Amino acid sequence: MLTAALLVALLTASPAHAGACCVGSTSVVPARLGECERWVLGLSTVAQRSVGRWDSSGQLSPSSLQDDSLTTELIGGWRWNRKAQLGLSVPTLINRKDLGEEPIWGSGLGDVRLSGLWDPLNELPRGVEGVRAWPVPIFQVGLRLPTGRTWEEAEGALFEDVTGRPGTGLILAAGLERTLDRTPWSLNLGGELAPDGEHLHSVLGLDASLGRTLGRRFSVSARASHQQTRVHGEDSGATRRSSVGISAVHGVPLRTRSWLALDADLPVPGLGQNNLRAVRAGVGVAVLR
Amino acid sequence: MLFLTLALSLLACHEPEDDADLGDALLTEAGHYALTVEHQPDPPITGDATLLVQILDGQDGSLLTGSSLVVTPWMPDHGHGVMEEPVVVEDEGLYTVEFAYSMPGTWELSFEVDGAHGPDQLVVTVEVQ
Repeated sequence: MLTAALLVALLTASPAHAGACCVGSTSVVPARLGECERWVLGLSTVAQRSVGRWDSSGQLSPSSLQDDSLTTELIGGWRWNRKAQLGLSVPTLINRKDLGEEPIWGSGLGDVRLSGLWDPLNELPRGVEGVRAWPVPIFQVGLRLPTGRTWEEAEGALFEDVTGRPGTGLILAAGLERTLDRTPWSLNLGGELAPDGEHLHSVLGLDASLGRTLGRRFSVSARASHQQTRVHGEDSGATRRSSVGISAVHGVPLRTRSWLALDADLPVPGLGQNNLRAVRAGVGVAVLR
Repeated sequence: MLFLTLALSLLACHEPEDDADLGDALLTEAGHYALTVEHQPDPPITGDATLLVQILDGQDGSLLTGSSLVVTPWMPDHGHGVMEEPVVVEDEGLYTVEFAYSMPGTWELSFEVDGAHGPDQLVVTVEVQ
């Protein structure tokens, strides 16, 4: 569960047009630095509320469990040269589970995530010097550290105090991005591999975004994502989910960035499997130099 | 009844012997035993659950007592089990198993029986709401 959320965060940390210098003020996610930005420190909060689930055959199904959470992340980023930057994410979770009686709560530190992003090519405006109207690639490698509380370590019968997954996860992602006039877009494919007891746990996600810059300080974007998790081994199983979202970002170049985001798992049969369906709302603020 | 749910999920289990009258009971993998399983509540929901289990002889369907029964819930799609080990209490051949499902979804219940005919096991799939 948490791994899926982390992967979404990873993939959305790839705004379409952040590769160009000083457009970071309109980047979708603060952890991504523009070329002339050196560091960023931010705080984001995402509230999630369950609205049902997909069953094992992909059909929409009600859930007897109301499963809500509030994830607050401390985000840091540092660019040490034009082509590479490091990121750090330290989440804390507050979980609320309700079976229709007295809700129960759990909280704790989540899994800390470290990432390095390699941005090998300059994204030049279309037509400048007649070069590179093509999308530019980005590559990301990272680690998810098992600093959260796993289900084996938790004490709550409904996993209300579970805040992480077992094992250290290796995160790999690659994407394409391009800004055409004032319309940035991106396409990212990423995943995580982690040992899970005797088995291997994997997450694979595909994320696409399309945005629009509004002046120098605002941007809006829409995105769609699909992800699936699998426990590899005997009697293995898989989960899937698909979601769409919108976000709005306000930025003052080299000073601050703030954003709002809404996201919902699609209530369509077949677009998920054996997974919670939820809606999410997020808000964040960051300072950068 | 959950019997139907369990029966549909047991495609890999052995067919009962022709001359055995096992009713709704589910035959274990090696055919040594047959289990009747009643789930409370039915259908299963997240939270507290109780299983009422009887262990029958796989050949003649007679009720067996004094066997060891271990039940392990597991969620294969998510790679986890339940927080606390299920508690099994036997009373004259009726085994009461108490535990809690931690979340909705597809669960596997593994029944490990060790009795007069040696060890054997049965795995059933349950959809928890």
